[in-house]
Amino acid sequence: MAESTTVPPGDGGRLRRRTSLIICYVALATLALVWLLPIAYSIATSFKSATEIAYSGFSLLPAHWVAENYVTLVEGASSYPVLQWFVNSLVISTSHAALTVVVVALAGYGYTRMRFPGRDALFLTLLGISLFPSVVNLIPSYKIVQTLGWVNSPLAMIIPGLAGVANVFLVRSFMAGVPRELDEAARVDGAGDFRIFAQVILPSIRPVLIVVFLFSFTGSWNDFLWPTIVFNDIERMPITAGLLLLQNMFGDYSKLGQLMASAVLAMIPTTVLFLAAQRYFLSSLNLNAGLKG
Amino acid sequence: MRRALRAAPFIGPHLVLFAVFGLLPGVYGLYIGFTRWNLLGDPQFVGLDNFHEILFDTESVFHDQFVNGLVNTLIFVAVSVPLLIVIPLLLAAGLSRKDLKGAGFFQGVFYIPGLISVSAGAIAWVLMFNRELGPLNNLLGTDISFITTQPWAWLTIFVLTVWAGIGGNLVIYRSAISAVPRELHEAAQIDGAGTVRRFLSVTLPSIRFPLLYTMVLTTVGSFNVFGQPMMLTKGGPNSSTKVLMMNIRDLAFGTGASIAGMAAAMSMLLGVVLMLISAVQFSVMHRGIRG
Amino acid sequence: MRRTPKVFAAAAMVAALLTGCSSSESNTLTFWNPLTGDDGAYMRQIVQDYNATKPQYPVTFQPMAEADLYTKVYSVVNAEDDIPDVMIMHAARIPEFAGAGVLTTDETLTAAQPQLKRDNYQETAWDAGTVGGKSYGIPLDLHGVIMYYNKDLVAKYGAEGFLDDKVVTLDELATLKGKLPPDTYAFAGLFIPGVVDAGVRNLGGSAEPQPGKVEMTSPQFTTVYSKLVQLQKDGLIAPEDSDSMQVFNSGKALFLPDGTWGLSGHRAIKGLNFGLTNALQMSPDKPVNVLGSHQFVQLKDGSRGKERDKAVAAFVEFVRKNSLKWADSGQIPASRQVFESPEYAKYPQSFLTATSEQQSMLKIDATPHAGFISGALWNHSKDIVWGRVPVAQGLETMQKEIEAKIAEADAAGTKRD
Repeated sequence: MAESTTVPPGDGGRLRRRTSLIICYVALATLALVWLLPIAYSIATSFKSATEIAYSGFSLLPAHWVAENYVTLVEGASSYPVLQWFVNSLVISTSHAALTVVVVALAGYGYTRMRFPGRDALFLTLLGISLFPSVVNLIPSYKIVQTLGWVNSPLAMIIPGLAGVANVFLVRSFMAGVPRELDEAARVDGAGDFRIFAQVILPSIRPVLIVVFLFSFTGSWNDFLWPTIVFNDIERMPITAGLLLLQNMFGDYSKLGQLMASAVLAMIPTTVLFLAAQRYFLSSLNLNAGLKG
Repeated sequence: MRRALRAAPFIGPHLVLFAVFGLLPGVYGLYIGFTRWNLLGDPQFVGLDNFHEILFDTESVFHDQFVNGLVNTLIFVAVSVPLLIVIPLLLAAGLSRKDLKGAGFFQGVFYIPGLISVSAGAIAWVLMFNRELGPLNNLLGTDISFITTQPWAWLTIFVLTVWAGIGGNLVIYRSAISAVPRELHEAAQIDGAGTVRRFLSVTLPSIRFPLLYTMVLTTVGSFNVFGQPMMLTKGGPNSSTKVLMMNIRDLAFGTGASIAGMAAAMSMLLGVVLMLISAVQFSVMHRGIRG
Repeated sequence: MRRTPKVFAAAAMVAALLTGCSSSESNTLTFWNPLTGDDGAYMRQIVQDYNATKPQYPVTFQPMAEADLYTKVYSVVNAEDDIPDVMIMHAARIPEFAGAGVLTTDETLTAAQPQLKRDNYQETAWDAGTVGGKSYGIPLDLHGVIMYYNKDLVAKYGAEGFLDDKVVTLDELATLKGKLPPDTYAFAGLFIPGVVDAGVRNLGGSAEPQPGKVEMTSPQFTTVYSKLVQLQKDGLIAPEDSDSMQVFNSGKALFLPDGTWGLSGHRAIKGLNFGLTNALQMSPDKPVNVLGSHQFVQLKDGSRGKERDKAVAAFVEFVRKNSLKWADSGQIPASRQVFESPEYAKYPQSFLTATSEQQSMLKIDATPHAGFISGALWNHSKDIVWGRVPVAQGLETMQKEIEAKIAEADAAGTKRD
């Protein structure tokens, strides 16, 4: 499906290509609409007044756009350090994602390019252990973090997640696809492991490292259970856990508008960051992996 | 030995982190599976009792919960994994067309739900399925009790799962496809291969490792499903969407005293099932790759 | 490509910076509680007012989601560090934590502040913190599912008579059969477990009559569920998947069993003419209101000195005298000084404690295994009421489930000191 530009010329081919392109657009546009509808409807509902939600029945858009749900939330939020939460999240998620990229890239190189006995068995063992659900491990994990003196410190959110095996697996999967001729050529030129890693491998797996960064950033941003456990001080909270404090304990549905408003608020930061980074992100994906240099 | 030392700077950092934050709590979790513990007092060692009761005691409530939860989890996995692989793969192939404008926009749209936490996404979909205010029944002119009747209850869960879940795999596939050397396509084209043939014989084999990765990890994620049924159906109707993870969490951190030993034993068993399935995936994929 | 190493350097720097900041012991009291949302805002205000009195140990307000609060307690109890100076626990969870030996009795607090005594609180609320003859908690409030009604609809469909004695029964609701238009209901059933609990006690039954002995299959449970099934079949309960709040707020249900905490939500709906009354009952004889209670408790902590305990007592005493604000959340303050004050009489929920007769109706949902029971009721009630499971079978399932959990929980050990 890719690379249709070089289909042999001819009217039949061009026509078929155009038809398939139109089908493609229609399908994508329809899907995109479906994908956006829940978000759009949530946003619209968050601007309906409680009274309108109660009496007007179903309507896609509010009859009267009101900001009361947001006003209530912002008033409630005013007694909380929301801005501080946002900064905390930025610090935590950015450092976690950056460190993940470092640790994972190194490990990926080790598990694909270094030769030592039991290498693959070691990796598969790590992967196997990581498959076990960790719900009950919450208590021992806390104990470890506490022993390290990290309770109430951002380190409690930045470091433990680095132990994940999934990202190593992902990077290893990509590195396995990088032709060995490249590093062998470099080795012939006298390059050591670190130079090959930094100058040959890293550039060719940049797209996947960016994916790893994105995944670990959002994963850390959206985590809300662990931060509640490791922070004893609401000033230290990241924003996702913090926003939950604005929600009523019984998930009060008579305040549907408010619930939607808080859900929308929770969506905004990551979405904005993603949209801002999207251009850089995409151009990196379309590098064609820099395989040629 | 010397080779292992040379590898140390590369795999060492991760290995140490894994030992401290992955292995250590994991071993402790395993130990808890062999105890009776309420997370407060001192754990009492009970040997294989928990495992025996869960697996073989047909009179036991915990056995019923495990079996019912596991069956529901398997149903979820069997439907959602193929959806979460095939849909993003087709989308990635479509978005990789060179003559398609706005690929970035579309990818952004499909990825946005992945940026949202499950709870916020579920709140949005609960509203979509809402009887009084939801667009679905109201726009389609139907009268379906989405979250309380089957098969609709499962449908709502799959809708939320696919909506929230395709973005991640889509990004991986796009990134993998962009790394496929152009020369391979050109060579296939000279051989007269059409679009579909080239996708099957050039693209797919070139992205086989990322494909294996997504298959294994999507399966793991699906086995750990919890948020979607929790937020949408609460496991109903009649426990038909109550997945194993809901039972495990309910036992460990429920409305009453914690029954952590039983929960840990169920986690272990779920982990074993997952390992077996991943092993099958690995061997099948590797055979496919080599053969 | 040069950019990649820079990312590495930056990451290393960030990590180095972060290692520098760690927490330090302070002169403040940590106060954990499950009071988020609007409730949290009122409690936060009380804490701020207290801190404005310039106490030696100001209080740090630390709210968290209810489920997370208990997970966090499990964590700190095991790590034996970072234990809060005082926390709010639900009365229903006190038996679990007291039984495991991780709670202190309230003697340290009552000794420091002599006004923290049973006489100064609503008795039922005070007794909710007592397990095995020992008092572990000092009550903040009572809260629970009572009955809201739509005054206009009640008048329209001639149901005023139901409210004569301030007690609405399921039998009275049943008389509405055939009198309501298709999309209007006698009541909407989000809090069916609360209705069941009240109904069973109203009939003289109990889910757990003696500690550890569960009677889910009792005649009382059977009667209550059978009545509910009949009401459902007669189309008197709003559909299962409907949003109960929405149904009531939009004027499609005469009644709504809802929490005291739901008050502000209904108030926000302009034109909704509603009133409050006692919980839905089976019989007008010996009606009951089954409530929960937020209690101030302390986890055992060897490192917490007497000074801090005294400071905690001073804070709890301040709340006792100044918790009228808490009534704004819809809850019933447990402090006698507050709930007997003329200012409190203006709150709609004040009827629950207005007379000694009303107070005698108050029951607490804190039997030793109330958590397991409420879990089972929430898990299975809808399946029974909407006919997917026969009453007897559903109750049997609950009985087995609760018994199994109790067996496990009671066999678990306590904490060695």
